[in-house]
Amino acid sequence: MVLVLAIGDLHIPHRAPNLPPKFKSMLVPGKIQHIICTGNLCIKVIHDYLKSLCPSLHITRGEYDEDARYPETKTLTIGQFKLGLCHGHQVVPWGDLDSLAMLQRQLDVDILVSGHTHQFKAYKHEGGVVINPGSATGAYSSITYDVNPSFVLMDIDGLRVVVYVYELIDGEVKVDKIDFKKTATPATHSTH
Amino acid sequence: MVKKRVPDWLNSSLWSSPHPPSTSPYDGGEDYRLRRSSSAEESPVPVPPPLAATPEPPKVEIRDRMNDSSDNGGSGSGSPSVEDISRQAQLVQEVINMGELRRLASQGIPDGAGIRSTVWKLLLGYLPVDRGLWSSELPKKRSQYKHFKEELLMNPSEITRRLEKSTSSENEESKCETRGLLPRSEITQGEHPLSLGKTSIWNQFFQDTEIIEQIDRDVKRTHPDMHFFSGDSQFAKSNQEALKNILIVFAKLNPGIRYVQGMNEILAPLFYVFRNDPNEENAAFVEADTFFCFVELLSGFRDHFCQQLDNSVVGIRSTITKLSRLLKEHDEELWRHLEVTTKVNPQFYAFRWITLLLTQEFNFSDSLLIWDTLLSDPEGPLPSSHVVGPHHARARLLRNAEGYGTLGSLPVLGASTPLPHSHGHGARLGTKETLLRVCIAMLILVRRRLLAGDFTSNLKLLQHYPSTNISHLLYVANKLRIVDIRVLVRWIQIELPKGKSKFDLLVHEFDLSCQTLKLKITRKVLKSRWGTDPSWDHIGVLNSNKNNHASRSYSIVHYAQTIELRESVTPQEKHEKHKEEKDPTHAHKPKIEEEVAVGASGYAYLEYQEKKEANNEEEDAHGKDWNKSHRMKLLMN
Repeated sequence: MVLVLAIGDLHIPHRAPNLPPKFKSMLVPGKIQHIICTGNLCIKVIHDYLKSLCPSLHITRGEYDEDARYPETKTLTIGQFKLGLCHGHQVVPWGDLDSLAMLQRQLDVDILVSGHTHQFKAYKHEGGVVINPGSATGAYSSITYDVNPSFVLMDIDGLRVVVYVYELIDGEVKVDKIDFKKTATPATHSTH
Repeated sequence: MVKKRVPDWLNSSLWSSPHPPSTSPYDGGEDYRLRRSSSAEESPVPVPPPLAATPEPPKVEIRDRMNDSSDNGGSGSGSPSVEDISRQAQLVQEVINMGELRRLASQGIPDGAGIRSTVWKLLLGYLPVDRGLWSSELPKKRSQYKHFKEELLMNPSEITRRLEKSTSSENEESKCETRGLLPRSEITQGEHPLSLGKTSIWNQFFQDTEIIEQIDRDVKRTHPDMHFFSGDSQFAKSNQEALKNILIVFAKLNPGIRYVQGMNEILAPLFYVFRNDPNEENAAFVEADTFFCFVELLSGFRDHFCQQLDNSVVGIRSTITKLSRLLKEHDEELWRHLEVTTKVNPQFYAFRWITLLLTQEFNFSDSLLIWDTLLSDPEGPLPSSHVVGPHHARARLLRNAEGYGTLGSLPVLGASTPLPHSHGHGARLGTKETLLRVCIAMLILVRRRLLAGDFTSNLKLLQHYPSTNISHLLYVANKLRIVDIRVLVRWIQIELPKGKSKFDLLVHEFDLSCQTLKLKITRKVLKSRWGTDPSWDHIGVLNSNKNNHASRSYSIVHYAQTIELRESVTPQEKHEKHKEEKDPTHAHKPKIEEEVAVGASGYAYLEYQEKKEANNEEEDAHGKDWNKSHRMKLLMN
């Protein structure tokens, strides 16, 4: 039972001053085992804050991030799942699922987490699952209208993942759940 | 039965190894006993010669084990053989005589026999007295524990998964290969991992995580010197895991008391003993058995672990006060030196002794022996919880009056009659008394050093208690036993002739928490009952200390309460009324204190007390240090 927080596109301090207080009250240290962050935090203060929630922080570079040392993409393995992380501004057209699927095949991961569109999406295709946690602050985006603050919490338990989507709609936190299972990988996989 | 010297089995080589070769006859021990009950006379082949000589009831095996490796042959086997011949008739029942078992166990269970586990289970009331019920009771309890574990040790993901399985079927399998947006579904009742709601299973889970971490840390620190508990071996790790599970289940089932540091120490000997049970089946279910026995054992002592009860009548402070009072009764000089002169507050050393049931003071094997005595406690449950007929009491008292000289051979109340249920709160009260007695014995054994020492050295000595001969310690503790004579009261109430409506009965002490009643009976009454002028020792009412003479004389003068008898009242009701009248003891307190103070050694104490009180009053009226300044003023003028 591993809890993984997927969060990103906060754009603090440029487009938003802070996380919504309701989100902030829910995010307490000690509950989450990993944080994967798509990028665009943008300043070190937020990096430290996320680090205080959980020491295991994985972050990729967004175009407005002030720290240039973050990688462009990242892969990690949690439990039985391989997760891939990328901000998403590199994948053109932005938010296009086929292109993201290409990136996923490239990284060879089961779950790809990317952002930049500031809109939550959870999409399944043959190669795996693409999750976009949206923007945790609801920051302005040139490609999305009516951005709602949102983030994603994944509960990885063996071969099953339960994705909890936290959205702030009209000032209220709404939580939805998405379930999916990974089919057990075949023992041998022939490569050319 | 009085132990004349240290039995040699205590010093034998069987001590160190849990499974010495000579236990092989006892591997079939269970079967052997079962067979015993069915066929009366024949003794099965695997039994070693000394046992085959006289066919015995199961409990007497213990004694014969003793005789086996000791040269005590003559005096030792003399008394058992007489008793077991008389007891053979009882064998047919398959019901274990708990009183006998307790008495024997209190003298120590031999390590080599591998029966300690079964005996402890019987003493703690986990196994029913009737052997026939074992095969039905045990699986019930074990499956109950399994349910507890499954329920309580599940993490929230599994819980939600099981909830979903019950509500919706697995229809997501069909969408395996298709593309598309993943379907979003509603969550049930706001149950999400970050939920802050009190009823949320996730929230509770995270709160429990703290306790689980604490338990984990403590378990890892249990007995670091023993391979059984610590180290990197698979065996040690599985034992630690089992200990953890038991403590977690206990903490979850008892939200009032949860887990307190120290419970792991009480659990450790239980687990060790049960794990080393030569019976394979029992060893496999060790967790379940240990859990229930742990609950039973802790039931009498749980008030020591509850912080809110610290200052209450049942809390640890009151137990420590009881200990102090007991010490004062038994050894006033030592008490005075410790508490008054060197100001070694019993809380400094007795806290650990009492809460951890002496596991930390001695090495592991010694503490197992002490636990034999603590758990067995020959007095069994206090008579108040059962109906004991007057004839039992009378028989016992007559026995008292006839042949006993010194306090060392006090009769054991409640031992001869098998009591209907031997567990419950009443049972563990006896254990507390025994524990206190052992603590007093510990103090008495080092009294010379204590009397010679000051605060630092005494505290150091008591906090690192020197290793000593355990059987001697237990022997001394046994000597300190004060007979519970509530039964005596009942007997007197019933036996008094019709005309007499009151009799002189002095209430010495009524201890609300452990409900023992210590009574002093005036000589007038005794004379009328027994026709002779009995000495105090015969009744064993008071323990033999220096105050004996004084108490004799002043008990005639002082009456704390007179109890009225009405013929229409049944013995049971009399007892209830008696209990009722006991309750407003604060009315009696001043008298009690007075009569305790008066006496050969007590006059000076009374004076001192009065002066102190006068001082306190003055201080209260005029503020602290007024006394000093007042006196100085008087001096200067």
